Amino acid sequence: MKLSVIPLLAWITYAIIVVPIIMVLGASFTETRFITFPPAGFTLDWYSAAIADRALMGGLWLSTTVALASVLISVCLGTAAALYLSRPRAFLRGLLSSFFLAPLNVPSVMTAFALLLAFTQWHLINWYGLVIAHVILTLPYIVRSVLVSLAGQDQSIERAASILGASPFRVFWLITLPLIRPGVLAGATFAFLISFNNVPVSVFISTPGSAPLPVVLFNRMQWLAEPSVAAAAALTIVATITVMLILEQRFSIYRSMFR
Amino acid sequence: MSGATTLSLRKASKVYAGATILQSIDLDVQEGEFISLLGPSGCGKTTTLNIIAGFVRPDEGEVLIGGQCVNDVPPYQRNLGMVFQGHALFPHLTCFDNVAFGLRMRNLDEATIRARVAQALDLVRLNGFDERFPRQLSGGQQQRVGLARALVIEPRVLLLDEPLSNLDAKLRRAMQSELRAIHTKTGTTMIYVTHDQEEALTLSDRVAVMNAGRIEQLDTPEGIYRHPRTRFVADFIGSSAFLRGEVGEKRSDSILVRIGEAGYVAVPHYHQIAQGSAVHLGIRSDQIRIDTGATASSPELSLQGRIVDRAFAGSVSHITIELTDRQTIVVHLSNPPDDAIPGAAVHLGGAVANWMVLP
Repeated sequence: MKLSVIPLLAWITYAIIVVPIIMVLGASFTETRFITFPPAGFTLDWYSAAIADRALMGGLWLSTTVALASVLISVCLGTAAALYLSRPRAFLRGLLSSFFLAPLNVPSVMTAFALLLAFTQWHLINWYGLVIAHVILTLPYIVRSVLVSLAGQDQSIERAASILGASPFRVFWLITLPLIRPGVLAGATFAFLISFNNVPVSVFISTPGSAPLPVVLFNRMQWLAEPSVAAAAALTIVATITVMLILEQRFSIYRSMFR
Repeated sequence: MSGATTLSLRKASKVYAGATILQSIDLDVQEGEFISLLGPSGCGKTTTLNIIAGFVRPDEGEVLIGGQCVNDVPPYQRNLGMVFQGHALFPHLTCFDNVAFGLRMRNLDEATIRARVAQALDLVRLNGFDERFPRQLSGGQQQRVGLARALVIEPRVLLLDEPLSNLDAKLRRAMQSELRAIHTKTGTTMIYVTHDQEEALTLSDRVAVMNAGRIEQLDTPEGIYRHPRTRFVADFIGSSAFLRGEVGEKRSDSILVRIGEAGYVAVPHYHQIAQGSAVHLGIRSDQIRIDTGATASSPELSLQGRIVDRAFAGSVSHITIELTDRQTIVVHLSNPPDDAIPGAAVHLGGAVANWMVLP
């Protein structure tokens, strides 16, 4: 049998990604009162415990509403910003575009610290503060993906619509928007996941009584590592993967994000 | 052609980042006319078209459509059609919806839209392609959809921005004759931007040759070809040879111009040139005749030189001749004599009427 290095490396990579997920899923079925892998026995009790847990479910609800609200705002602002930046004579076009297109490398703990200082003064350590913080986190992803999809467009397509009698609003609504829709969708999906899974920023801008799900899970793992935490994590992982698969099937979002 | 002026430019000028793109362009396009803007890239022909369309605002001057200044009218209210170099079809719409777009913007009812789209697709011989998407069509078909989409709104003027330059040579010729037929059939006023002189000469009623932001000459294709007014036009259209000379004796039917020791050339008598002044002469490369005999066989062959190169180029051969006064010209001959080889002494010249006097 011929041994090839590349497939071997590929399988190691897949394993590195998949093994932790398998461990979380496995641990959620254990009959013990503490998290262990491989699981001892099999029970679904921890799932009912997780669903009955008001702190976990409160966190899930908070995470979902914050993610939806911040994505909605980010999509509107980010699309507008990208449309402006794609114009040949936009202000600081090169600088701002490369800022948005480059990997985002300001440590999010620093962003969070700055936001904590400001939001404490403005009494924004609440749902609204979380949404604002998550808009800041997710905006670059939207701008990036919309810029990428705009970069592939022929400028004369919009001109063609215009000379055929379409007002600027109709050009945007009937031509530009449908053409950048894959980019907007891809950006929105990534923005949602980034918001939904964020810990470093959320942990600063939330109170122990009302924290988003990842923060609740983080705290629980430190103090009370019951398998219900693994069950809650397993539920969100499965839900996330399902949504991503559906979106990928329907809209090929990865291609429009990274082409 | 009714002779009414459909579109005019009055002293239209444009400066981009300190560089003058257009210098005071004046142009009158008659109703039903097919006019070409011809010139090398960067001559301002596309900017001129964009100013007419309303995508670019002139810094000075006016655009008049039907006698009305439209400087402040946005493109979507000018009622013009445009065909783009990259065809610019809407990729997310079918052929039908692409063609119907302009009609929908005019809020026509569906039955009228259906009838007019069918008529337009028929005009470009694409019936039955309604439900196809642009990516499912060949380059030529895409450009025909672009043409149908622009014509269906019955525009005041149809603007064409190098519409055939992305097609291969064979398809381009087929599309040229199709475009000519559509122009005859619809009578639409057309302004055609191209850098291809043959295309401009074949298609147009009149050609505006542009260079460095100016119209160098505006004339019929034959006028442009036979009577170029500037050296640029003579050089850009067809292939020409140029000579420097000094104006000599004026006769009743011609003026003699001395080309140093090489001899003289007789040019038409109507040129306004003063005796003793220096002039530039031009002649089409394929209108020069040569004779390798010891004495000139005709009084027209009044120049002397020596062949320095002979190159075969298919339908013609390119013969480079150094005149006795050291000026060099290239002659295109379809049947060069066998003894017209490098080193051979030749007599050469051209008919009086074929000599051009250039500023």
